[in-house]
Amino acid sequence: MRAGIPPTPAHEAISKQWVRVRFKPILLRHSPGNGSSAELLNRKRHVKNLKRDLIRKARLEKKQFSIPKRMLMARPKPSIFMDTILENRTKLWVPVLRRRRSVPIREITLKDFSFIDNPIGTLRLIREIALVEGSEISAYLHFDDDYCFDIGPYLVLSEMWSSMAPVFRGGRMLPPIQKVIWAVGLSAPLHMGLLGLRDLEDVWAFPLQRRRPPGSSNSLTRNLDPQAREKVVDRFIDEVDRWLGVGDDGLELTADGRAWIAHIIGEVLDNCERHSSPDTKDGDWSVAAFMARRVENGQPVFRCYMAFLSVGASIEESLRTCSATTREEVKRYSGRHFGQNGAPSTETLQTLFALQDGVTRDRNADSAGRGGTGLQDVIELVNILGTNSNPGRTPRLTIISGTSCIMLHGPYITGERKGGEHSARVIWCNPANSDMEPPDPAYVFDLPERFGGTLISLSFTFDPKHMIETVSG
Amino acid sequence: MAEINIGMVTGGKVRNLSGHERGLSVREELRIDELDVAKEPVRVVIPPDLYAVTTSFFQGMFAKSVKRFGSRDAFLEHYRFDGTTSVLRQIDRGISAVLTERHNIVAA
Repeated sequence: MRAGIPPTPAHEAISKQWVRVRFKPILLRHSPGNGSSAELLNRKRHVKNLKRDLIRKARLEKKQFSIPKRMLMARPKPSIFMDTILENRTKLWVPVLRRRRSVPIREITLKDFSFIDNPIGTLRLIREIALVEGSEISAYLHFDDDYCFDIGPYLVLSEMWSSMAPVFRGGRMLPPIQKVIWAVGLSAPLHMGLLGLRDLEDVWAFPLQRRRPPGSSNSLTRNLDPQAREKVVDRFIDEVDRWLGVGDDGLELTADGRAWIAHIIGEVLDNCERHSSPDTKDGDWSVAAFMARRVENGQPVFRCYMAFLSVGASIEESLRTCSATTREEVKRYSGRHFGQNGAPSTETLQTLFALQDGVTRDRNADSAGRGGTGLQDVIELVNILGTNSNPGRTPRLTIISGTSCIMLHGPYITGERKGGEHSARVIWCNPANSDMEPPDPAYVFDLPERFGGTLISLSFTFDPKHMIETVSG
Repeated sequence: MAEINIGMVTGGKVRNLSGHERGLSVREELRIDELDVAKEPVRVVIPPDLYAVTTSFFQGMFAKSVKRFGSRDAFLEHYRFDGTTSVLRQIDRGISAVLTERHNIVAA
């Protein structure tokens, strides 16, 4: 801001009145005074130059900080994510014409942007984005990770972006992340121009897939017709076959390999549809995945990342419609541990309970003895697909739902049948894998902000040779 | 022997089946309740290009039947699945899911 001259609101025109007001202090400092004709003339010329400079700089400043039309038309649009993560968002949202330019321009740096390994930090960054969207005229968004370590946060951003005012005008993003964003098909939903993108080498992607808006199907045979998730599964299987062809062996999935992957994707997406919208069982979802070839310790490693996102009810909210028997058990479990040192909230304890075999919110299914096994199937597959003796390459799965975070990382990554062949698989996230002990607080904890839905983000290292041996054995 | 063909559900448009509600709808569409009490066995034809049947779908479609017959063997004696080895393994997983003990996972 220049001394003695107030800053120019971006919407104010550079009129004669404007020039007169702002030039007055300059004029007063350069009164005619005394001197020779040449000195008087020079002074006059100098004042004229100062006036010209003032107008030129003001025009430049106005151009730099002019508000685009799209921004002028921005209104606070409803967004389940942003409205959930930012309480009173509508009240906090400042009308564009009342916003003041921040000097310097506000910047948000996304570092360790991964729900898999940094859920709290990542959620805080998402919240900050929502906050800036409602208060700034423009801002920069820098993606400062060397690689994309989790596609989940980008899925969340793509869900939010269409409801956001066009505040973010660009920022830093390294080529490896640009490759992933482009390959997964997120550059369009995120309105990103990826200037550093030169090639898509070493990245294989399963592009973003979304289910139709809930309730939009008028078909009387909705559940008899081929489902969107089944079509997604078929496409994904074909894509993984293409990934497998990456190695020198030119492998393809075994029949069992196809079945396992299809099973997992189908189960997760079915869960999203049925439980994110408990009343209609017609919820939405989005899914994306990619594999990247990276060199670690001189060796090529194939890192795979998948994320499933559903907006709406959290796992715990969805479980509220369960049978009385299940309700009694979940209360027994959460009541046993709530309030103990390091134990999370009742909501998070109940979310962990929901992962166990046989637990379903569907009373009819419960009374008929069916359902509630899908999530344990997912956990089992992740272990099969990502089996790796290298500790740095073991599979990791993180569930974010409401205010709950459950990190299924080693050693808590395997469900266990504790009572024989037909006993339920359980994973209680403690060393004894026992419901009598509270979960390890490093792996099961509350989030400081609320997430408006459920996100399952997973990563594993894909070893084509090992996977073929594993799934066909 | 009575026969049902699951291919009528895929319509040749998908090669996998998933979803609990979908399984329930197919059960109703194919009148599995009536087939449960049929005297003769039922042949369940699974198209060769179908590579996946999730446990949720299977449970929706056949949980009631498995419960009625009480055991894996009795169920498979009545419903004879004709499909690839991989799919038959998944059917087995589905049966195991139905037979999985529910409740009492938390100590009293």
